[in-house]
Amino acid sequence: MKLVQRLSWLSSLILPLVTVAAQALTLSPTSLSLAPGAKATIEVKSVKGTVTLANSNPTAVAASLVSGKVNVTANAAGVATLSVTDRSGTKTTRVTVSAPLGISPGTASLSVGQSVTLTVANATGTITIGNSNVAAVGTSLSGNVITVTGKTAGSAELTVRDTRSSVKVQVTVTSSSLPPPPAPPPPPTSTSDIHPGRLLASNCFQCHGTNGSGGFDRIQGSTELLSELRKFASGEEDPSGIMAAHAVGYTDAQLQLIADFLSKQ
Amino acid sequence: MDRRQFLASLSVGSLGLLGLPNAWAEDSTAPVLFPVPTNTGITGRIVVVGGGMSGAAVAKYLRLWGGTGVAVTLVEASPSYTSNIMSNTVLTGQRTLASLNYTYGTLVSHYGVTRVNAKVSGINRAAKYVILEGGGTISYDRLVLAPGLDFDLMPGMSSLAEYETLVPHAWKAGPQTQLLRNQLVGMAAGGDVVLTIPKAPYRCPPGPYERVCVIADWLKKNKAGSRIIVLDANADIIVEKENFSHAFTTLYAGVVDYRPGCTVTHVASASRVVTYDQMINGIRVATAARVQAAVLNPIPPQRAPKLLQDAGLLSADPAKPFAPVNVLSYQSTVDPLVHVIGDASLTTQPKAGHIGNQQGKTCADAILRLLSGRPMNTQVVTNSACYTPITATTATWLSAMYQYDLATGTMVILPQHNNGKAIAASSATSDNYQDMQRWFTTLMGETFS
Repeated sequence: MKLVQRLSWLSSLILPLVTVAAQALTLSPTSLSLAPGAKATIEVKSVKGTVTLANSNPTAVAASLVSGKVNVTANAAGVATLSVTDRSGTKTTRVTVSAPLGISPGTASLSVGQSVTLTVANATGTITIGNSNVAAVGTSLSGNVITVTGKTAGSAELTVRDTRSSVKVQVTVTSSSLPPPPAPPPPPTSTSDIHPGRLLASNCFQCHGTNGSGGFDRIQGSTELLSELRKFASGEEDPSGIMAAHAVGYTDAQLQLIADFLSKQ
Repeated sequence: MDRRQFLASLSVGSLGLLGLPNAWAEDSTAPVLFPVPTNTGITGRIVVVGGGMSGAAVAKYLRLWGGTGVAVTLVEASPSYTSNIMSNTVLTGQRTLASLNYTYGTLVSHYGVTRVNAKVSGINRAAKYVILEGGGTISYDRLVLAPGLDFDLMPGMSSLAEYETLVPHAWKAGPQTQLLRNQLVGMAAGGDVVLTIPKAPYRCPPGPYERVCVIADWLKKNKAGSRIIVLDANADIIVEKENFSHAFTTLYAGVVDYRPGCTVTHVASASRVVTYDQMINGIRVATAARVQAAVLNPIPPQRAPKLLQDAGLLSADPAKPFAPVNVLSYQSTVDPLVHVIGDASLTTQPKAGHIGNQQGKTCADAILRLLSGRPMNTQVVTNSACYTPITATTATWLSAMYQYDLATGTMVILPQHNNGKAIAASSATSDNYQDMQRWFTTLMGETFS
């Protein structure tokens, strides 16, 4: 066993040096899309001489060169170009790290005739919606917002896809016109102690003071901010005003984070 | 409550009775100072070069969010900052230059920023220190460059001193602003003001058009028969086209002479003669045309300061003389320990103070994550907003929201925001003018206090 291990270690060291192939260096694949935390391997073939690896974006991707391959770990969203160079030249693999597709809220309950909106986060390319029960539920897509409408009592499974992955959302439609269920809780806070809405909310500070403490209306500690922001974003309130022009630039998930952060200041 | 209603009730209820209907607009609540935390566990030595809108903001937020373990040194050659925002109203005598002055006192006394009043003459990136003019170095774990811009010479000029004595650009508020004001006041009625606009990108996209408007308004009242001739290197008004073209052709008909597509080929700063070629829709309509100015205000092309060029941080493209950065962290693409924010950085965002403040906060948040091994934040949004005076009593505004786009690694305006374009006020109003005063006061308080 020991001998085998040692031999395999030796061969890994020696093989690239003694390979004399007619072809030039190749990398496979030449592009990769990964979610944060995911690992992947890039095959390196037809190496001539010493090989070096360069990583254009170590923040996004950790990469290490081992015999015959590059081990890649996705760290954070971003794009990294990994360049492998040998005597014959340089080949690159482009690695795109993006957060996985997400839907907020993850389920929906509504009554016949009622509509709710779901916000798609981190989509890549075109979003499509599959609907297991078109009799019960209608859907429409505008940008990254899905409007779900209850048609008849029943349940449906919506499959939201982008070019990389899909997420399922369970929708229940009830016949009664009971009051709608309570609003979903805000998105979970990150495992780190920095509130995920802090940087987003700091966009408000130029006009509303640090932590929303003054300037135009004081918004620090406000519990009504989310409903106000949604009214501005939808054009229900002062649609030609400067607040509408700001609110419409965020996703609903971002507005939730902003309101949650400011309510706790 | 609707903000307009809120403000209206405030003005009538609290100050309208005093007979000062506009006084409240300046009377914004004083900035609230939040404590610097002691228990974040984050440590590091950060040197910030440049104390403008983005430099002051990054220094403040590194301490406010990072705590007392983050040592922040702000290196700035000027004893205080003079705001470019509102400086066009110094030209019309509505504000004094002194009213635009902001000191670093609160950053030092409350936030615990170490202030170094010196000019940085060089950067040693390998050994991680900055070199001060006249001697001395300051070491850093991470360096933030917020140095603003350098101004090019106009064709035909031989020295930057010509801007200081003969033909002020006044595109960095200060003595040149006062010189331009004095020249306007001293000009004989009937003389022409000539203002030239460089090709974008330049600092403050609406700024030149705003300056044309407020000068035109002032000329109408103070210099009968005078005009302002605008030689714009761009093919058309680049922002808020509806509001500005309405102002140029209606409010200021006969006063503003706007000429798009003009390439200035020579500026004689002593005689104030400008020579230019003009192209409209690809057709040359003027060659070596000459215009005589009574007051000449050339706004020159701009670039990141030489300090950054010497440090090898600029783009190789001579048409983009700015520093490329990762807009999640403002890390230079050349050196991940160097961050470049504000006007000197090369991004898709406008070069302006309001969004410069946001870049400062974005950079501070990213540095604190990098120092403490936290994952990077990809939910990065920056907002650009600016109010623009059109007359002495009315203003418009312009707003754009930039989101990080993973596919391109750039900041983009989402389609839901006016199909990916900025949004402007529908017209110039006196309400906007009052809001402008409060915006300015709050923005400066948020940045320097």
